[in-house]
Amino acid sequence: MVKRAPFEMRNLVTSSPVPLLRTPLFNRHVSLGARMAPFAGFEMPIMYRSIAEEHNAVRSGCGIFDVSHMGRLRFSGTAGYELLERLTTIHVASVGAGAARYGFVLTDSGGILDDVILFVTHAAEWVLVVNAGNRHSVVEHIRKLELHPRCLDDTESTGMVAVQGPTTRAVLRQVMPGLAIPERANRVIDADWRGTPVVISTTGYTGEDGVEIIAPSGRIEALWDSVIEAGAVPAGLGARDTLRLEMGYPLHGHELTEETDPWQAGLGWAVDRRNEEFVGRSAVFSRENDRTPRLVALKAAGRGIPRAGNIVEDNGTVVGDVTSGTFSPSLRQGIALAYVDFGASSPGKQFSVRDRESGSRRMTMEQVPAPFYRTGTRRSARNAS
Amino acid sequence: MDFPDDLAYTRDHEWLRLEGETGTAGITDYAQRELTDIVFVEFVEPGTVVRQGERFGTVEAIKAVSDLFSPADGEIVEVNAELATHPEWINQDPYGKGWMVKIRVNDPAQVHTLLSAADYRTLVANG
Repeated sequence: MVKRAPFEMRNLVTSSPVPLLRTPLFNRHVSLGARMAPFAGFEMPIMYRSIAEEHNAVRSGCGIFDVSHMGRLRFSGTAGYELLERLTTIHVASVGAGAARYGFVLTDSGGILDDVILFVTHAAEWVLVVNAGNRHSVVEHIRKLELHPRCLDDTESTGMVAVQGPTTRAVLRQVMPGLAIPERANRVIDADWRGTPVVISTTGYTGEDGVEIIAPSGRIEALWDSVIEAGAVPAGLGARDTLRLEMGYPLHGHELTEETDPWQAGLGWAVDRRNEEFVGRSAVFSRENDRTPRLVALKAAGRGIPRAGNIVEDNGTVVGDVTSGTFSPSLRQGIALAYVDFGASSPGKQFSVRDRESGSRRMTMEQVPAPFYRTGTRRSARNAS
Repeated sequence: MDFPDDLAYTRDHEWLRLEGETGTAGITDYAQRELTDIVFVEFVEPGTVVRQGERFGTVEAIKAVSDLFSPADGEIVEVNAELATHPEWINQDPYGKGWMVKIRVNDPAQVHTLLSAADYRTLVANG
């Protein structure tokens, strides 16, 4: 037995000699017997017992993920506001206190440096959640803008968990009795948990109802324990990936890179035209009608599991690349996101997908509308990964 | 992890149980743990002749795909068809219900080229 495709987090699995960072929940993962692996510079839990079991817990009950590896950058004041308008495709002025908004940090040429979510905690304070693997490039991008706002990197002084699944609210009623969690997606509240200030947002990356909670790093273990005691199942990055992929949500490093733009990824809605200040604005709008490859959702017609790096063929001609692929535990079928040449895709079309090197693994896949999984308790929520 | 003493092992994490000229093969407890969540398995057709180290099938887990390599020279005479509907048996019972193929071996003495349970345990312990 020789593994051909190890856990695939292309571009994000670091093999550099730099020591891996640990989240404040590291000891909890080890004592739960998690399988740990390098991910975006952190030593993270891939799974505790089984990706399928953890996935199903989130679809049918409640799961808790350690997402402390994601970067948390805090801004305040007029300078902070001006910087965010330069930095992101979000029209910051229109995001009121208590709201969360998805957007991009673009390169000068309109490529996607990162996908981010902005939390407006209260007037004139913002938390920008960035991908773990991109934190340093976003910070460097900020430095180059030379706007010198008050920007605090809270990543290591805080922890963050995602509590996701249809029974999340019942679980949190035990952990935080009396707390009113907003019904709507993409809302943010400041709360007090046993004397500790926490930020709670109705955001996630699973397609289910749920929240993400930021707490001081010294308190995150106690919060983690309380949520598990109330019935949440610890879930690792493996389940996080199958859950997001069933929703067709993109992952930076796979679907989104500095070479791709929001139009190709079908995420033009997250480029707010009302923001006239952001870096890469003219470049990104000049790319809007380019006939570049488009991101499509593909579902295996029979058995077979597509994998990142597989090739997409149409009648023997290579027309695209798979950027993410997995077995969908909910659909019990192989699913993939792939970039397919402009004009080569159409709803219901069948493609042949195969390994790049050998022809031994080949499967028929059909282009379907995203999301793959259509009965989640929250379909509209979008979030940075 | 469990590595029964009466089996022979490959460095690629397959096991072989030889009874006369017929060997039963599968993947080890270590291999099933590494893969976890096995969802598909596919074998060559019965009647296929394989050499030791040649591919006799593929196993797919949610996050990984692996080729399977024959522990001996011989002919694949039977495959475990029940794994098509119960791939989880490989995780649950890798040496029992999760067996994969039966091989009519050319030379039963070839088993001595494989690892003993003790040697395989050492191999796994050293990563």
